[in-house]
Amino acid sequence: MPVEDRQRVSDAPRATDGSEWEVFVRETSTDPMRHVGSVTAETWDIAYEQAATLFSFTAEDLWLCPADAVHRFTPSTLDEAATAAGD
Amino acid sequence: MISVSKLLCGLDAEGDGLRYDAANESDKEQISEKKQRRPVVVWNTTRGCNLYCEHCYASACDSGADGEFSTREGKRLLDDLADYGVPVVLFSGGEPLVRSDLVDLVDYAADVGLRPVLSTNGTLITAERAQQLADAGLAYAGISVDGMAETNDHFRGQDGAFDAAVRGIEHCLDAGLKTGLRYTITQHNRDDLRDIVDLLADTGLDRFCFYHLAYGGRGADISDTDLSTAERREAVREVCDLTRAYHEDGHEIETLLVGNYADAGYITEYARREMSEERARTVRRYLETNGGDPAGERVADIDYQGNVHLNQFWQSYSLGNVRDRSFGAIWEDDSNPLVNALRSRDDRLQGRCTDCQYADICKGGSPLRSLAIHDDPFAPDPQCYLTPDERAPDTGGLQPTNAD
Repeated sequence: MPVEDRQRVSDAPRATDGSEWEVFVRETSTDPMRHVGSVTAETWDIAYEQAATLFSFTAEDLWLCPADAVHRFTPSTLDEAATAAGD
Repeated sequence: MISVSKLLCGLDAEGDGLRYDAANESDKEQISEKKQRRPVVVWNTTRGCNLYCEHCYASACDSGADGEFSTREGKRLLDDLADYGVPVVLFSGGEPLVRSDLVDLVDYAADVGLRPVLSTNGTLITAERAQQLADAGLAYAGISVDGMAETNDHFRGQDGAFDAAVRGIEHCLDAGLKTGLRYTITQHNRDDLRDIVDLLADTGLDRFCFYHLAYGGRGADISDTDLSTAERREAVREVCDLTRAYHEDGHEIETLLVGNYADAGYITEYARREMSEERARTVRRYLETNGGDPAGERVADIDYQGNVHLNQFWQSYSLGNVRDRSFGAIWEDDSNPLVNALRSRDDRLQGRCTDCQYADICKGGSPLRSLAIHDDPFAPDPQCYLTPDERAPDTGGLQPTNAD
């Protein structure tokens, strides 16, 4: 897909009570790390507890990343405040 | 949702096709001719609310949140939902009526082929606003009242909230809107249940939805006010009894139970005990079609910041955000192991659910409550109130009809 077909999703907050944490899991050691959604929590350790209760039944590795550290580029046009990918 | 009036009294309703694949049996115009293939979507349009209710799953407060959708974004979202084939969009909050563009959004939803319905505390509904919503194509207004005046106002954090909600109900009925009550049963208001039905039935209301407490948002903070097993049995029995009493008197109210699929087993047992074996078989057949707790399957939620949730009460976990990709793409992403597990949860039931004869129509109840209490979404629902005799298949209870 050409670069110009994507736009950068705005940095609108994803949570109001705490922060949003993107969750990634690997089910076996040879699987790729996979994004499986996000949890809302004040701190990483609480986020880890939440994610672990949801995914321990299948996950071997579990990673967390603050959602506001992720820059998202998409062809979706829903976000009114999105900017051109190169801006 | 489990329709007590349909199961016990045979009442036709608009949701029969959607809920029980029974559109052909109904004389009412149907929301859907076939059982739904796409989820009903709850859209929390704002966090802002003019009340502060003890059980609010959305943790609403007196101001909106950063990142809420503009009118234009809201319409793009409604286009997205319509393109995916969502049958119903439920405008919720916070309190959706604090949004000045609500009528515009409802109008747009109807125009693009969605069935717009509303969940509101009712206190901001004036005669003019009710008429505007009716003219815009609103198909249903569900108004929350959680007890008689004193109980409700304490629960909702504002004196006069009860009177304002009842006025809102009257304005909706005057505008010709199909209108119903939403009532979350706790220890605080269980004694008001019959009185509230009697009072509102007198105003012309004919639809009553009784919710079990969901352990999400502020609801999780008041789980100590939840009903005991005995109280829950008594409350559900009361809903069944009063539904039948109203119908026997020729007043065909619609009553529904929401949020606890142990109700499916209880109502089947109730029908067998209080009515007939034949009625119990009919009830069970409908409930087999209905399919158990809808989280991750027949209901979805999009919060005021665009995060997609497994249902409206489960706000702490999100599958993705509709500003990143379409709702349908998020919902159908089969790489998510939790969603896959929820959609085949029969294989993961544990403990008392494993030998329960109603597991196929309950599916373990609410995964959110199980998560809140047991740290495991596939553990038995802590609100299950069936007795061992009702659950065990070898003690005289009804067997699945497909085993007949």
